[in-house]
This record gives sequence, C-alpha cells and structure tokens, in this order.
Amino acid sequence: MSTSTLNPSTLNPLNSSALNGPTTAQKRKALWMVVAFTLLASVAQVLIKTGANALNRIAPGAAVAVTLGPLHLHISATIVAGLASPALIGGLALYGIGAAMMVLALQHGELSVLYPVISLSYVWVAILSVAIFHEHMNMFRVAGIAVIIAGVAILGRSGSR
Amino acid sequence: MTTPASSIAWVIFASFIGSLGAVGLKAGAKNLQLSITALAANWRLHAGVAGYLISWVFFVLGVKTGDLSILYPMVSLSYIWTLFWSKWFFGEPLTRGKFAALGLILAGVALLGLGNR
Repeated sequence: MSTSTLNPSTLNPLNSSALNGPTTAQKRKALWMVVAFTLLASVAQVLIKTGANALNRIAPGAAVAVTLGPLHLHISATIVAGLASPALIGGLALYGIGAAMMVLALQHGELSVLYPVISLSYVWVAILSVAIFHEHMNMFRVAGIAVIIAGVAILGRSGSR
Repeated sequence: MTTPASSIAWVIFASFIGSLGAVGLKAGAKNLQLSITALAANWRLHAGVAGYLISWVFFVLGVKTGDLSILYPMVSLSYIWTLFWSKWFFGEPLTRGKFAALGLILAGVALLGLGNR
C-alpha cells in the first residue's frame, strides 16, 4: 500500500474505488458482506414469519380503543400487537442492519455480481424451514440449494478477479 | 392451491420494482458519505430503500395465495432485470460468467419453488 501523501486513495479512503477501481480485496470483502446480508435477511424472515403467525391468531375484528384528547380511535388489535411484537421488531431491525451492509458492499462491488448473491437467502430459508418449521427436505430442495450455491460460486470467482 | 393471476401480477411487479430499488441502492452507494447530512441528502439511496420496501409489500401480497413453485421463479425475474440495469445504468460488463451464474440461480430458485409444494 502506497505511503505517498500524493496517492489519491489516501486522500479519501471511502472513495478510492471510484478513483482507481476496487481492489481484489475490496471486491472479496464486498462479496462476503452480501453473504452476511443474506444470513441476516433469512433470520429476519424467520422472525417476521414467527411474528406474523402469532398475529394470525388474533381475532381479525378485534380493536383496541385509544383516546388521544378529543380523538377516539379504534386501532386494529392486530396492528397494536404487531407494533409490540419482539419478533417483528427484531426482524425489521435485522433487515435494517443487513440493508446497511448491502449498501456498504455495493460501494466497491458490481451490482451485477453482488445482486444475484442475494439468492443465497433462498438457501438459508430452505434450511431454516426444515430446521425450525419442521418442513421436509426433499430432492428438489437439495438440488435447488446445490445449483444456487454453484451459481453464487461462479459470481464469487468472477467478482474477485 | 391454484395461483390466481393477481398473485402472479403482484410478484412480477414486485420483482421489477425490487430491481429498480437495487439500482437506487447502488447509485446511492457510489457516492456514499457517512455523515448524517450526506446520508439524509442521498436521495438515490432513499429511492432504493423505498423501492425495496414497496416491492416487499407487493411480494407479500402476491405470495399470500398461490403456489410457490410458480411464484418463486417470478421473483428471479428481478435478477434478470438487475443484470440489464447494471449494464444500462452503470456500464458493468455482461460476461459469460454472469450469464452462467444467472442461469444456475434461476434454475436453483425454480427447483426450490418445486420443493416448497
């Protein structure tokens, strides 16, 4: 790494890839950040699914009466429960963190390389569906997982040259 | 469970909007500066996030009723859109590796959709 103070990449490290093009190390890091995003997004999906399932058990017509000064509101009990649901809040928080990682990854990586890596979230959700929701692993799922991983591996190699 | 045309339409529309959201995120990431004011002013980033949220709502609406073996592959349409947006908006090269990877991923998502029956 150049120690010259005239090297543009030392002037603004955040935008060095805009000046010189991203390094292989930066591209590899971007790829792994997207993989991390898919893991967060999948856990978030499971949390949100869990929270939503709990909401489905609430009577659809039930409402909570809320008085704000002169205003008398009837807010759906489903919405009130949703706003207070730790699973839903946790899921959205994880999604938010994941989205931030995705944006940081896109700084140095190509969209056409990084975006399809998001398909890994389908792999994680399939695995989690079997592990947590007791669904069945079948040949289609096994084949789908293998094929997606193969596709992502190609992107990983082409994206970090 | 038969898949209504409305579900398919929602999911196709969701994948289109989602791909545009990705374009917004990439455009916002290119000039990313990590200060509160710069982030607040980064309208491309906000457009990208909005696109993603909207596409997620449409996706949930679509997936509520319908066979995932049909709906899953529709979602992978967003990968196709994004590949061409990346060339159109950002000049990224369309390499054989990217097409090969895309083909594998589309097939894999379709297989997972069948596995979700």
